[in-house]
Amino acid sequence: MIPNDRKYTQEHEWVQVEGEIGIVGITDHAASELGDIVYVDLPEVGAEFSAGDSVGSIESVKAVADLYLPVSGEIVEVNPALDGDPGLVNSSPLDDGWMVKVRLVDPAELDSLLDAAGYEELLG
Amino acid sequence: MATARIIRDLPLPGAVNMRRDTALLDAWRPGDPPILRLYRWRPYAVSYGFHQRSGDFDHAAIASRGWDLVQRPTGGRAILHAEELTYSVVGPSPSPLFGPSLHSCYMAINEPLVAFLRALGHEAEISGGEDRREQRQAVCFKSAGQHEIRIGGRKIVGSAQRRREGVFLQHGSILVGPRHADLLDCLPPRRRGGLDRDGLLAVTTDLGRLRGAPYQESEYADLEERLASAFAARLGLELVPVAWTELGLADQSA
Repeated sequence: MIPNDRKYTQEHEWVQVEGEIGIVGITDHAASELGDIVYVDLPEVGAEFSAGDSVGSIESVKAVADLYLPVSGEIVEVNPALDGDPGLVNSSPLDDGWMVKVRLVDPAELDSLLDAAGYEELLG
Repeated sequence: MATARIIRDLPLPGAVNMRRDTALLDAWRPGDPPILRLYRWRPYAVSYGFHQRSGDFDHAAIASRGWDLVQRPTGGRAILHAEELTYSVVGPSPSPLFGPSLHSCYMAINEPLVAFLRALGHEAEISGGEDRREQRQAVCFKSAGQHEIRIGGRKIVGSAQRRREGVFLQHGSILVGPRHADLLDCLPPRRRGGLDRDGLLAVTTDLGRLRGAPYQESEYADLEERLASAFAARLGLELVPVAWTELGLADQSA
């Protein structure tokens, strides 16, 4: 079941909005496909990015994958727990395994992202 | 028949080899045909994974041997590129050719690799996987990840992948001789994971050992030809040679 409390990208990231902050992570599908995640590289707090920018990378036992930001904005927090325990992305991709928090500059960008039904359809 | 571009490079320094693979990944655009690149390393080079640190290696030991040290754009652990055939593939994912996922991508590229080894008379198999703890070790060929190719339980091909939006780079090493085990001389003792040269050779194999006679320098061209043929046959591709100048990458690839 895909949670309908957030939006999704075709590259398998999610963004959950709380006020002016978007919390970003990768989906259960993406985490499962990557397999055991061993390193996560995240951007500096304060850095500003546009939607679709690569802001970090995720390395698993199978591949290094870029992390794309679903929405434009300033990074206000990165998940400190992932430094010591990147496996949180596998065990809890939608909660404890979140990656960055971003201050949204254009909430209208959310409209172009997939809702839960659209993402479920993408997964087939 | 679908086409793919093939680049067969002469042996090159480590930094050039990794710059060329990265340039192919950076330059790929949706709709481009896949690229197969076959290459070797001169001088020998230690490559380390995207998230490993240069400081993990004994720089003096590497320099004293005249070898290179270079970071890969892909993940995984360290390899001494010595007596080996190296391949890289850049192509679209998801796509009909490479399937919908990371897993299907590995499996699609494993087909020609396994066919190449079987055509040489070696019964290759695909390994089941390793865990997160193994991945944190320093030496690539010490363990076999999921999708890696083994013969008689010993690893012979190590591959790694970088994925971006709609495109992947996968490159890998096919062991032809045992010199890769000299990697351990390039690591401080604390980074060797309790492994010595014999121990590394015990969990790996190479084409020379399998044949019972080392491959000579003059035989590598034939091996490369066989590998290219296996890619063409198993993936149903016509391989069209392409030059770096035709790709508009002559500057980045030097």
